[in-house]
Amino acid sequence: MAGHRAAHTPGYRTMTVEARPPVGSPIDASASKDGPAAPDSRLESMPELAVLAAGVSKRFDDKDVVQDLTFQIGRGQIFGIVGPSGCGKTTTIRMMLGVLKPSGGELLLMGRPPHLFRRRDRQRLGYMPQLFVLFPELSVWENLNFAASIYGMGWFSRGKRLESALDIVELGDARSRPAGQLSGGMQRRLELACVLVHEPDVLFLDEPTAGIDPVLRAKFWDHFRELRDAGRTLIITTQYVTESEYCDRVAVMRDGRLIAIGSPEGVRRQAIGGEVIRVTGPDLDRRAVAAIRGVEGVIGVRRSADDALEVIAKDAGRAVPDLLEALAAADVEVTEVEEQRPSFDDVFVRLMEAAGGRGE
Amino acid sequence: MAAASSAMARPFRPIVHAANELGQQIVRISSFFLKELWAALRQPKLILSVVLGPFLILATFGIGYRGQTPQLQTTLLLPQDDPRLPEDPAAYRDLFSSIFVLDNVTRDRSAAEAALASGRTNVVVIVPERPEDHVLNGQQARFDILFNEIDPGQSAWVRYFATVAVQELNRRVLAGLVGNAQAPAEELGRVAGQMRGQADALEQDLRGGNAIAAGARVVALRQTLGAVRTAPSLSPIMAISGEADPLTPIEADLAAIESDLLAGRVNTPEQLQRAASLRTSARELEVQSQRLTQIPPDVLVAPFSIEARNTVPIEPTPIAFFVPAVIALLLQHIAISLTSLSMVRDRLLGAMDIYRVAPIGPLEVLLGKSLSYGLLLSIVAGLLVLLVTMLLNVPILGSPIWVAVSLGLLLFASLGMGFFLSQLASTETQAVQLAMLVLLCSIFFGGFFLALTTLWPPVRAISYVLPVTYGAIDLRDVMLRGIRPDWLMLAAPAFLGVVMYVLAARGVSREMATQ
Repeated sequence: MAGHRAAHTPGYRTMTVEARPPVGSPIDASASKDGPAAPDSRLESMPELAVLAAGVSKRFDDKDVVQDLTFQIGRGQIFGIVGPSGCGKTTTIRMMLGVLKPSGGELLLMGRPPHLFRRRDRQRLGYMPQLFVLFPELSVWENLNFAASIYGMGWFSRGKRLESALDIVELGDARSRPAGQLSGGMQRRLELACVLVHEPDVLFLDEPTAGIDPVLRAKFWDHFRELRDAGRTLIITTQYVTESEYCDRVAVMRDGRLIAIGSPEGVRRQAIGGEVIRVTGPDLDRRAVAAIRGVEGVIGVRRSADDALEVIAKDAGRAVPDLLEALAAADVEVTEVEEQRPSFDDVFVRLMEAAGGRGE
Repeated sequence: MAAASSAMARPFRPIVHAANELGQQIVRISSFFLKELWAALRQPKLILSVVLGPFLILATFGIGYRGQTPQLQTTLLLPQDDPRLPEDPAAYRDLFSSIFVLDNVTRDRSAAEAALASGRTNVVVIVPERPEDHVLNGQQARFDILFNEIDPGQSAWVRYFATVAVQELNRRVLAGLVGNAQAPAEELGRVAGQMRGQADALEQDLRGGNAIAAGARVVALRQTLGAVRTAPSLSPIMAISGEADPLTPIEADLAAIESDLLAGRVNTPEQLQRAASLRTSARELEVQSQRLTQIPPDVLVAPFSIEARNTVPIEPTPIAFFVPAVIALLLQHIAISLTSLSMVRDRLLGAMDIYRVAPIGPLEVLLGKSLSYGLLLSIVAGLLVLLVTMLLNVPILGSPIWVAVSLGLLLFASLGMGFFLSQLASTETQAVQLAMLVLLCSIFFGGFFLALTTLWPPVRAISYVLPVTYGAIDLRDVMLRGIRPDWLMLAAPAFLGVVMYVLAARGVSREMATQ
């Protein structure tokens, strides 16, 4: 199922680790296969798409900011968009929000082009922009009230929701403080509370964890998972590559193009080319490399240290016994053979290098 | 049962939906209303500057304004060789009034010119040498007035008051001459009385049939008449009586009596009638002469005076006149500044992105903000009006309702203009600069200092796009004239406000639309 290339763009290699279903079909199963168990079952139980993008592009004047985006987002997922600064993440989000109209391609959010959204459609969206846009003179409570009001929530029915949103972001004690006097982290939490207050179906969070400490980031992701588990769809951009692992599905962008999309595990496999096995031993010479290359399912071998080799295999579980047998047959002493899980930082670097190598 | 209930409810569904939508719309509008209100109230300095600032400006203006008539230090430069004119300023003080304050009298021309150049004196009045020689030669004696002024308004004041002063001087000279002419008038009265006595005697001689005595009386009367004819005060009397020549009928009567006497007729009814007429004419001449001596010379030389009456209910003080326009100007400026800054600030904060995504429209944004600032500025306007009436004694002669209507329309147009200007500004600095430009325009073209009629009509068009123009006119009408403002002057700011709001709404719509 892997290795299918759905969208080829000149200059870049789009590494797609899932089969791309035809437009309009339910979310592909590959994501379910590679991703965590919970999202899989949820996707199957909720086949509707939250977002469908086919060949979407956006041009400002003479510059193509986003090109040929094709992806789908199922409801009840955390969909991460990762990429370096200026790669088109925010533009993609703004197109999905209806703030920008795509220059080409087809984009549907909840079955409707976002730029044609009516009030009723907009009530189902929540948006947390990249920059702090709360009103500094207003207190935490007043900012929340403002957010509730612009979404038309009744004055008398909103009290519990406001309290609940404050509880979620743990700002109950700061309700009377002016937003301008909050710390950066508290401001982001308040922004999140403002997004949550009207209980949107689809949340767009543009770099929600930027500039906040790791403890708070972890808390944010806990909230995001809770929201997902409650059936919400979250579309999150982030510059923290490691956060990709917390998503159900990840899209990696570079220079306005999608260079990889799929579950975090699928993207990792695609970036590395397979699964990684680390072989350690005092005498890993050419004999050892030759023996390893002879094992079925091994894609490649490279030296990672004086006493270690990094083996890329299609299926690490099946390859490890064969590797041990082959190395023993070649009379190579081995200290340790273990399956490795490269960090997403490595994955990201490899993806960027691969895309850059082709494109630059 | 449930199905039946559902079927019954179906016709009301659109109504329920519309009511729900209306409710949500009110909530959305309220969001901006409350946001702006709380944001303003959270800034005590802003509130202080908005409420107290304008009043302090008004109060300072009220205390500091001293009217427009300048006071000019004046030096009197006397001719070098005229000992008749003393150098004591006290001798001339009563000749200088209004704006000229005499503080120096000198015969040194260069010293006077130096004082003028250095600003120690504002005006130098140069007295002509031997003015009587000019007059006797049939020429006017000219006072030269030197002043050193670049302000055209002040220059106009100097010229005007110099003309007034010279007229006053001429009047005084003429009054002196007329006063001198009143002594001959007394003499004329005495001669006229003598003539009346002779006319009485002539009548008695005629009644007594004494033709010779009557003839002698006629001769004496002719001599007296000749003296009257040459009297210098006869001309003023002729002018006052309005008759061409009061002596002509006397001469005619004397000639007729004399002719009868020569014909030998005495004591005829016609002679007696003419003698009575002679007496009456002499008496009238006597009375006219006495009247001439009794009329003050000032009245004779300036027989006409004016008394101008202002028909407004009260004569407004300069403060009372300017205060309504100042209130209008301040409210317009605050409204424009607050609204334009509010929109630009939202844009710079990035809040427009939130508004674009949220289920709100541009009209809700504008309406919510307008209600908030409208309420805030209405309170400010009310406080200002209260303070100026209580502390500066500015009257409100008309209905307070029309004051409220005028202020409401002024605020409506000003808020609309603020929203419109916010579409032209991308930074807070630009918004402030635009507000200041409108303020500057308002001072020159809003009828604040200069009447609109003094402007060239095409330029006057600028006045008509400024809310302050209508605000000042309407408030002056209600507060100072005590009348309802003209309907056109009420409709104009309403129309201006609508136009501004439409333009602003178009701009915000474009801003919030998908790009």
